[in-house]
Amino acid sequence: MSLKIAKQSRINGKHIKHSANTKLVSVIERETTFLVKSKTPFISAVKQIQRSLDKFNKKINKKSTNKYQGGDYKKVKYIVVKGMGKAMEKTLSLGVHFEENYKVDVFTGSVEVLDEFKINENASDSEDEDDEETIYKKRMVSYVELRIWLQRE
Amino acid sequence: MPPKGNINAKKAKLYNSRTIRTQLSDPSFTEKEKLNIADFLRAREFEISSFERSQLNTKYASSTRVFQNLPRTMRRRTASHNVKRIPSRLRSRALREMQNSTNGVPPKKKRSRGRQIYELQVRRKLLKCSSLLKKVGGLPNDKVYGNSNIRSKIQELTKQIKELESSDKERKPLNNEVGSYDNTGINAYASRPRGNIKYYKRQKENVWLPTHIWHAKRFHLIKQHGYQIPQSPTQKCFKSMNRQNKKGAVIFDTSYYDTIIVEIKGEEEYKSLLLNITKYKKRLPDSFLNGTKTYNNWIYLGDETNKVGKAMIYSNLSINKILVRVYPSLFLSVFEYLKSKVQNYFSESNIYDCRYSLGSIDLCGPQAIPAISKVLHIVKDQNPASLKVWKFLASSNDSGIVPVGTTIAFEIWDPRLWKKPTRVPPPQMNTEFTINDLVVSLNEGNCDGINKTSIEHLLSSEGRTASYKDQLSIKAISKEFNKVSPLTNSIQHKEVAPSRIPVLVSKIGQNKWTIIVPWYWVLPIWISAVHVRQVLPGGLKQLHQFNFESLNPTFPHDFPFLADGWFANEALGKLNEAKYSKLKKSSVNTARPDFEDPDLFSPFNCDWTAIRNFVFLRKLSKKSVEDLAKNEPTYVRHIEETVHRELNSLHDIKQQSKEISNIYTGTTPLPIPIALYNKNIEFHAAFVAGSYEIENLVAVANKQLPVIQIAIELVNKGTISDGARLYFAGTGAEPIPPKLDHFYTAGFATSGAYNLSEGHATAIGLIRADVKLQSNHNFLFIRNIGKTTFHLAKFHEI
Repeated sequence: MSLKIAKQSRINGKHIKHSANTKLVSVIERETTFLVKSKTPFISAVKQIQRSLDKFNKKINKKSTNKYQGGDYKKVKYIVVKGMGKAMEKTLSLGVHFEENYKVDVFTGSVEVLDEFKINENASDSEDEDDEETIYKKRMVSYVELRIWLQRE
Repeated sequence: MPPKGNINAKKAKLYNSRTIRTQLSDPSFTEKEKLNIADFLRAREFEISSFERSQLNTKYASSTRVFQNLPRTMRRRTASHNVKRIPSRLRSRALREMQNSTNGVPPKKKRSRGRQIYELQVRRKLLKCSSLLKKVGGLPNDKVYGNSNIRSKIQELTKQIKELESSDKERKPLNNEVGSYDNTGINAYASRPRGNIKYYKRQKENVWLPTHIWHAKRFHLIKQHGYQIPQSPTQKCFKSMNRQNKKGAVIFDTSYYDTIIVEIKGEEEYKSLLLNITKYKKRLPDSFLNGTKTYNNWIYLGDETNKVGKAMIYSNLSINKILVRVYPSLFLSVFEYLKSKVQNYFSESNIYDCRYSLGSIDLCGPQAIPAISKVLHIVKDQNPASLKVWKFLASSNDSGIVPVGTTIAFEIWDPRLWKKPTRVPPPQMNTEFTINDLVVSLNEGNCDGINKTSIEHLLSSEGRTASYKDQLSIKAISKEFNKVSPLTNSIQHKEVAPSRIPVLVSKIGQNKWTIIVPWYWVLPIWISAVHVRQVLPGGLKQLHQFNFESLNPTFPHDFPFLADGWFANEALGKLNEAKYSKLKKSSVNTARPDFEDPDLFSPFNCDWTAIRNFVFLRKLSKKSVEDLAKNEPTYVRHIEETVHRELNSLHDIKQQSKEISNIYTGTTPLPIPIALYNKNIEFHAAFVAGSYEIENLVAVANKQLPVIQIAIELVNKGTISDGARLYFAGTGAEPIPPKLDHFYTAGFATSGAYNLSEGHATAIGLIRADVKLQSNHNFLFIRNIGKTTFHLAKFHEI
């Protein structure tokens, strides 16, 4: 039944997907969050996450003026890795990868995204252009969040 | 270019220069190949430490002055002789270095004597007089700016001051002490702003933007379209600007964009004008007509085919006003067209030239609105909807979610009344209503972010003048701050500076906003905005860079089918040719492709004339390219003793193409050889189908080749440079590499480079309409000028 309704209400038009990242983030949040896309290659994700974990490790980051050990960075407890929709599986495999050496927490949830539909986009006739219409629809998407706990020592 | 040497030999030489030979016969080798490291190091301890020290020594020896240790962002112009340009912690060292310079102690300043000192005194008096005139609320008249000598200028100024002092306050031309006034031309061109009397001679030809002096210290400027426009920061910034555009915000002073306001009382006439100049043909969307959204697209002058460029149009039917904002090179044609339209209307209609009365600031990047909102402090008693929209936008990261055209209008306080950038309080945290809901309601027209009084003030001369009332000088503001505790961030605005500044904020493109304000308020906003942490200032080059990185064309370079773009293309060709002709004969390889015969097919710009000639001459010959290629070049044979040459081989076509511009003797100038493809035009449709006819040589010179604008991305590694040639990749399912002959060129890349956002080379270009529409795949081949390699590339229409 629900499938049938979904089929009837399908919108014909160009579908533009918008990012779910609409919140303003601080510099520290940006540095300690890694967003997995369906395009992200697995190994490059591993390397990038490992690099941000290493920054906080005194044994690896031996700089005398290590900003990651003081100020607001001191309060950081874990690196957040998020993936939604198709990228969830990849995110979870990243979690499994890091579980060997780090403590990893997994959270699930859903986020709201906005879809934009452009109707009559392809019609380049001047008469049709007047009727060009944009429809916005909200949609909920599942996501998983990993918290990879830092090892500072 | 001289031929390259043996690459392998070069590599080997470089490799050898970096290898250090090792010593294997050392007493530290205990056995045959085992090294006792502790022993080995102990023996060389002194050498290693002195080696390290010498490395540091050489590093510091090369930087002889203290400011050379500073990071580039902290370096300032003239730091070598002006200690105030160096951070105070390094100043004493800088002073010491200046004393010990090779010249010894800096020489004493020469004292002026006699006539010189008199001239200086007179000039000082002139400046004093002009500032006094400003203070009593007057502007220097034409005589002061004329060709008279300084003494008569002073006399004129003192005369004006006396007159103003005796007259009553109401009749004074200025309502402030800083010289701000509204300079609008009613049904005529506005007069150029002359600026401060000290610098007026420099502004005679090219108008200074409100932020000129700020930019002159930090930017390269170019003189274009009657303005001095900031081109690019003096510092290297290609990568940092890309990063800033992805994460932060970049601001531009775009006051050089020209603004026109049209006032039409009759509703029918109002609508017909809008239908005439916009892409809409029958019905105008309500959101555009009533001013909740702006139009950011082509502007048409006259008929449907006459697109002159892209413009921003804001219309507000309730106050009967239309604002048109165009690139300065389009101003004259748009103004004259609108003026002729307005004069034909019966109802009370006027056109205002607001070039020098409305300024604007453009913003790029996802943090554009959050960053600028720290400076624009809204007056509280406003339309609650505009306040709400503003708060939501100020507290969210715009990753393209807000639709293009979204517009808000409100009034703000003088931004200089706040010492530091201050965040807008976030909207009430209501989990039900999010930015997504806001976008939906903006789209449905349920949310009107326009404050009517503020838009009325912005679009009328009286309103703008009222906003300048008692505008404070920097001195007056610091006096006010001295009265309060040094810890206070803002001073009581209503009592100190009652002026309210009308502002229009609109999203004019993906990732791009503009703020339109009265001309003399641009500078205060700019000075406050550059103090915001997320913000970097940019110039024309950065606008081009951002457009390029998001695969959008830039006006005028990427629009050679428009008059301005064609002019830019021709100018570029001349510059490149002049540069090439100055090269040493020994360093020029005339045998490399494209440089063999510059007259036939120019390697210096996008030579559309040649392509157009090749295509239409082949049509005139009524033979296919393959047939023509089979025939060997022969002696010239003319048809019935005319200039028309028999076209039997490719050689014939090439020779005829060279002569074609000489053959044409008509009085009207030849049209641009290309036009943007439009399937509703009969010739264009026939051209794509191949069913068109070319009658004679004059038709060849007069017909325009239909082209399509495309974005190109390389499939594999490689580079694209400006003016690279595009080649047809065959009609089959798989792309086939083309032959290296001008005859097969299908188009040009107008801007091409490495794209930092994409991670490979991309380009914006134009391609023949028939090639684009006949290929079954989205591939083409691209070749840089003077090179023989073809790169496979993907393309899509813009």
